[in-house]
Amino acid sequence: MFGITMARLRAHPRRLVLTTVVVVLSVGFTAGTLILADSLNQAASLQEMPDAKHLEVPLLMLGAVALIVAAFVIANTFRILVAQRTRELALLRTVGATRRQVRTGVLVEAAVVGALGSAAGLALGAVSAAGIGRALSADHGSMPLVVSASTVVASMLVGMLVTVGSAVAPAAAATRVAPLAAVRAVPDGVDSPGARRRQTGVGLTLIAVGVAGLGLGVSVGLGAGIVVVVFAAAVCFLGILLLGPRIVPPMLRITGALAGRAAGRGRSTVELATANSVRHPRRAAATSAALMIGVTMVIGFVTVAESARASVGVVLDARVPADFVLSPVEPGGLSDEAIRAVDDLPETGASVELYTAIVDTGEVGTVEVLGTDLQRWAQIAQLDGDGNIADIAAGDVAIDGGTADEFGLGVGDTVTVFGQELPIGYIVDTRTMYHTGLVLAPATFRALAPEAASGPEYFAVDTADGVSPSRAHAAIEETLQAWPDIMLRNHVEAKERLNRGLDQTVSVVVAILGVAVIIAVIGIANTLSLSVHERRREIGVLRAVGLTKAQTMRLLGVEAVLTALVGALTGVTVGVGFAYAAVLSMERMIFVVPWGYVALTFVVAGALGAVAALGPARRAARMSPVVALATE
Amino acid sequence: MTIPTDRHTKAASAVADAVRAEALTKIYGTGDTAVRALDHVDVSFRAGRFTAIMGPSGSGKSTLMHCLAGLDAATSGRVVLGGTDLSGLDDTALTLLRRDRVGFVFQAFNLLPTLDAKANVLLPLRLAGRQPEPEWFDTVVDVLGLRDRLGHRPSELSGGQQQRAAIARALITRPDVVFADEPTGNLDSRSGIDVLDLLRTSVRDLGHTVVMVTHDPAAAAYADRVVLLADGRVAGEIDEPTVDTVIDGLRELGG
Ligand SMILES: Nc1ncnc2c1ncn2[C@@H]1O[C@H](COP(=O)(O)OP(=O)(O)O)[C@@H](O)[C@H]1O
Ligand SMILES: [Mg+2]
Repeated sequence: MFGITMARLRAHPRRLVLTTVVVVLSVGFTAGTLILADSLNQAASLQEMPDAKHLEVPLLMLGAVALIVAAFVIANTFRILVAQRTRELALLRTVGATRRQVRTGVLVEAAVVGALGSAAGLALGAVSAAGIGRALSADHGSMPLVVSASTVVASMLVGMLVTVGSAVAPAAAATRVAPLAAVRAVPDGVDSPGARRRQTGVGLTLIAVGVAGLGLGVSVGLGAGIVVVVFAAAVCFLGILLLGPRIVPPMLRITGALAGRAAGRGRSTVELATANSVRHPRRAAATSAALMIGVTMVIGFVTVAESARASVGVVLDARVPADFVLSPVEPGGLSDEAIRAVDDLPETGASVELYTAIVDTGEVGTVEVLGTDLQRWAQIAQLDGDGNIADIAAGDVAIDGGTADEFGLGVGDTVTVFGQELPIGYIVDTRTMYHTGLVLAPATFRALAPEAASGPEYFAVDTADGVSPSRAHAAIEETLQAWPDIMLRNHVEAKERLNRGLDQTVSVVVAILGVAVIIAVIGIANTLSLSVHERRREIGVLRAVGLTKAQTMRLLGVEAVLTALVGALTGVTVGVGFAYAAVLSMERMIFVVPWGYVALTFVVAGALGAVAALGPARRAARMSPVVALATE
Repeated sequence: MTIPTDRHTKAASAVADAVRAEALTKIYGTGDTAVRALDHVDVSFRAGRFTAIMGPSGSGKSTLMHCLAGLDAATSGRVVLGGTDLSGLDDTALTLLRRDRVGFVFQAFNLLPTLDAKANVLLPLRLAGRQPEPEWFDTVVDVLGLRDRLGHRPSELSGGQQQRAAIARALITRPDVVFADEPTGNLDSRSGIDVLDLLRTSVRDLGHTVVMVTHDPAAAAYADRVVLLADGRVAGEIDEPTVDTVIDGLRELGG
């Protein structure tokens, strides 16, 4: 049988090229992440790149994602290869090949592809890891390339297992090919109603458990919350994958209907493409799922990263999002002279003092009370809320929107602070201030709070107009030499560092996951190539009754683009949803949807779908319409 | 119609040809393996007539039909369909010509499984981005008895119903010629008779032109004329054929 297999491999090199490419990319990806993780570890222990260790866990997680995508695509590809060969396998059966021989043949073929692909993938992984390492170490010292024996074994093993494992089901399907079977549609996507109901039940249960877990993670909050969220997201995701054959076809129909409306005179091809795209629900689901996994990861990650960027105040724990913040090294207050000296510098601009105290109020429980001038605060940072900041009377108290809602308070109600009943004059939108609790005017705070005696706890100051932040920083530092017990925090620099770090991580992650997306797109090309093969008579009929070559290309292009867009749409939805839970679990962080990336995802997915369709579409357009009339 | 005798009426008859082949030759393959499927075939099909093409297996019937219908390019010679010389047309022009001016009825029905009967019937118009004329659509649907089957998918239709939908698809664009390749080959005899009746009705009552390939003398007897092919050449013609004259004609070919 091995002889037969090798003969077939040689006879159909082109058919196996796509599968091998998928294996090479997936193993390359896995090996690359393993090598990179090892190498970064080594660099960290050599003190070359002390920050590198943080990357290990995310890298391994990405590696796992790539493997899952690869398993999907490889399994689908083998199913397609077997389907395209139904005739050939049937022929083997008629000349006396037993079921076992056919099954072994398919598995041996998978093993050969797995071995060759894994070896090439390992080499690709090492080369890419070296490249990424060089890019990362450009501003962080050097990184040695560590290719451990365990990496080699793991990559080869994983490549072989995934490839051969993916071929098991198609190999079993191949044995069901009856001798003398004519070429017909591949019997996939035909689950029994019972199996379908069970799948739907399990899928819905997993989603319910996952969503409950997400809620739990959010309520656990800072620290362990994010771990719970990640696990719950994984459970939810499995449920969504199981429900794929139920979810994907309706989405394809809706997307197709919208596209049809937009297409005007090209509508008929869009309608035909939509109908074609939903013919094999399981195949459609598997094809778009591969893309969905990659997109979920990219969008989920980018959403969290962009939310972190937008929540820079929270992330840096800045009380006021000013360029510089002064605070005493020991607990206590800032001296008036120091504040005035910094404020009077020509290099500094808008500024505001901040007193803080923890107060047990009657109405809203124990909360933090800030003594600060909101009008001056508003010159530094955008403040939003109910009421007009300029109209806040000296004795009024401002309250954050969340607390006000929680206790049913509004403007005009009173709260008791330091034993005094004070009217609420302004409700601040919490998110513009990163602060929950009450705000008093500094004069009121000083008059009432015992803590006020030692001075404000923070002094926040911005750079003056037309001055560079670094000059302002130098001037403040020089002035503060007279007050060694005052600490200066430079938020401009910290923000820049955070943004640089986010940019770098986002680009590395997007680049790595881009490989997963490319693997998924190869999967779309494979599925489409099977469709063209199965429907050559139909395509012939369409060509005979008036489908032009251009329309034929469009027909298949639209089918691929629809599949890609639906994969992207589910991925974006799920990714943003998971990121929302993650952000909520990290308390006080602002949630931001990265619309730019979302739009880019759709554009890239659509474009890649169109590229994936090129080969199969060109083949379809070249087919002679006479095929339609041939009787078989 | 008068019998063409002088130059003037000859020109008129040329216009009245729905489709004609002039010195049509089709060679498959090259060198030793070359097969001359059509060998200088001259034949014309008058508008408003029902013609059957008959001949032994391998005589070139399908090839002739493919070339006449603009599905396949001839090696030499030319095909003129409704006044248009097909030899000069590129693939897109040929496709548009098939869409707008040719109808097809296949042996295997060849309806699209994803579309219901109505959408299958309207397919050529939809591909052209055109709306059907409601009256013509009603006429075609009623003549073919498809009214209560319009919402059904092909898998929910009998063979005869599928073939009637296919005929409706062929007629919906009011084509210059309808080509039918063994249209009754996959049908039981009752449905086959139905289909032949409908093809004849579309010629007699609706004014269409039908060219049908068949190997069944009973089917050929429904036509106004039979063209006999043998070894890629026209080997004879039978006007107003009956089953007996067709069988005789075929026997002469064989002998
Ligand atoms: N695509 C092809 N390639 C090579 N030879 C062909 C092809 N199609 C038809 N032929 C040959 O051309 C001749 C005529 O075929 P065809 O037109 O199908 O005959 P009929 O329809 O009368 O049975 C036959 O000898 C056939 O083998
Ligand atoms: Mg034939």
